[in-house]
Amino acid sequence: MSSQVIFGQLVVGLINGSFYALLSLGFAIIVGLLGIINVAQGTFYMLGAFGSWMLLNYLGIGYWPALVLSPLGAALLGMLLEKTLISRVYHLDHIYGLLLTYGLMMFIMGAFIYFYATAGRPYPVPEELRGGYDLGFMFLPKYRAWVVLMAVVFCFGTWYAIEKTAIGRTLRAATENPQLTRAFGINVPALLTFGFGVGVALAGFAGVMAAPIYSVSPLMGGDLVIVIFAVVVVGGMGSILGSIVTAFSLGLLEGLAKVVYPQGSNMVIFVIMLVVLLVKPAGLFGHEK
Amino acid sequence: MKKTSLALFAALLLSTTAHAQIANDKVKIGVLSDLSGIYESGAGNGSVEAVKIAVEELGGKVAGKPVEVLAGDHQNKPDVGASLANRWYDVDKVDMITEVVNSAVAFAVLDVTKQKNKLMMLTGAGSADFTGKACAPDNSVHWVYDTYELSAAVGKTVSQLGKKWFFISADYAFGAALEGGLRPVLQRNGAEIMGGVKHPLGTSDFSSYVLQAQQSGADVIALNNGGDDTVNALKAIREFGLKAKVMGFGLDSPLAIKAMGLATAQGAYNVNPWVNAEDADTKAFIDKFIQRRKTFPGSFQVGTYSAAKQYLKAVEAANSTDPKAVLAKIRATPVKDVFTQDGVLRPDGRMVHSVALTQIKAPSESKSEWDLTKVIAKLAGDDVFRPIDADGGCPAFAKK
Repeated sequence: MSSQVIFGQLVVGLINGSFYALLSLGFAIIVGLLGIINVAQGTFYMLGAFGSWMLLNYLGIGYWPALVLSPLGAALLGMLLEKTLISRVYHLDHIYGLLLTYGLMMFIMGAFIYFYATAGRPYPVPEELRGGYDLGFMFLPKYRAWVVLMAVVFCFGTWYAIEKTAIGRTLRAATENPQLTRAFGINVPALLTFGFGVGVALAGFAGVMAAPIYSVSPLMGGDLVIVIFAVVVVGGMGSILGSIVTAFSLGLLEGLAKVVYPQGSNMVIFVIMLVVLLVKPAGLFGHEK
Repeated sequence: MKKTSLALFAALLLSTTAHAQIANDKVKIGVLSDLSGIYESGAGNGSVEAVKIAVEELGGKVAGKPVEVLAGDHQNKPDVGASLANRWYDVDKVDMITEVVNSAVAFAVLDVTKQKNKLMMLTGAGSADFTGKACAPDNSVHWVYDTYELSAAVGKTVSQLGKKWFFISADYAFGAALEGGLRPVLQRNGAEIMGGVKHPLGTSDFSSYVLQAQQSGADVIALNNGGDDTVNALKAIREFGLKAKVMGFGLDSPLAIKAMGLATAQGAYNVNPWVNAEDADTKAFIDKFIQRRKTFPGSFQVGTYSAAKQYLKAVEAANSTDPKAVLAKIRATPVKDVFTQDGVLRPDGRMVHSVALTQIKAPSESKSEWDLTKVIAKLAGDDVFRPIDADGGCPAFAKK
């Protein structure tokens, strides 16, 4: 096999890894801070993509404003759902949160299928990001490079915000020991709502990033959430760094699998998950409690 | 099982020799299609409307008898299709069933049609076996396309598109069948197959496969998939700046092309069984269709319109709905209408006609909302449809 093929697939893997990273980041934040396995994360990703499609087609608002507005809209909806529904299951077993968000996913997806059918809708690549670079071994579209750049920026930014800043410390404190945090005069429920909003916004953001590359369709997030779940499990539930590293590595491994045995590329992550769960049940970066 | 054989026996007893007249003083056409599933947009309600347009154009009557159109949903289930056909023939006195998209259903309906000595005009089903081992020259007609013709027509494009081919195929029966049909035909036409990938059904990211296609050095990429898979593959091919030409089986739907946008879809090729003559009759039909369905007609729908109209004209000429008499009339004159300019109904039931190699237009070439494709070349029917006495053809016409 020529090195050209390998390099090309590695670059593509990096791009796919960027999407996995953006999505699992939000998932990891929600599971880490709130203890909710948010199956609806893929739905918020779909909402982000659909939001930007709606902004463009109904209001004539283009890609750049949508990059902010669409995740914001998804986050608002997410926070509303958190306040009214999800916050009621915090004190229950994890399975209840999973079932509740699963129901939300089915509901939102079903509503979109009803109104928009399942056929994909096109979303144009913004003018500024058309064209690409010739890397010698492959042609790298500008837009894909932009996706990688944004993913790296957001991954680092999120990790930094949670691990190194005051607000991150407060958030972590609120999950570790809500009772004590409340004693310091901090509004813990509001903080959790905010955390959920951030997680959802990241999914919405990934959706806007995906809109120009993939068809915008109600089904687009459905399968992805299973992969994302596997990424977060391999990385270690709730570990931000773990999710980031796993997401990028998975993208690369999947890229290689697509050259060696394309039919099996969808399985790679699950095989890895099996092995990791057998050897290190808390995940690569997780801590056993 | 017992019940069916009893019913069969009863049907045999009841069926008399050919009626040399129009039974029940009414001519009834049943449009049996997928009215609610995956094939609906390319067939379904659009086909029903197409038949209604044909009936209206003939004044709603043939040979002085009113024409009635029934519509039925087979839900892509052979048993549903067969029981509906039974009811139509026995209770509703339907004379001819048309469309029947989905070959599995069409085979089941064909059995019923033969038992009752009625007529089926297939415009949606694709299996080449309808004029092969399953042929029923007195009871069925295959009007629009078949799988043999699809591969043969793509094979004919080698000289035009290029010699080095690469396959991107969906990893299930449909993709495998398309690829399997294409391989020998391409090789026979002097093409070289540089490689191929099989992708899971419903893949959103094709960039890896597209890069492999690029690195194979292929001139032409054949997309042996359909629906969103075709759309996403073509998008990735454009995004990664591939120079290769694209031939897509899934690119026959005006709706899909429109959803992709001409900017992305432009330049891709498809083999279309409908050769749009762009004459006044065709334009009038298209206008009527768009007015009623809000979308451009697909080739199955135009084909269904054509089959229904030829059928009604033949009923008029024969003054009978007897299948043999009607078929004799259709065979007697070449088919020249909105669907084809040079159709001939062969004795084995195959309607042989030219097909079009089409290319999707660039945005600058498109002058109106539905002005999406252009005809690059016409491929003669005799070159692309299986010869009547070829291997795999109808046994009754095999070479002695």
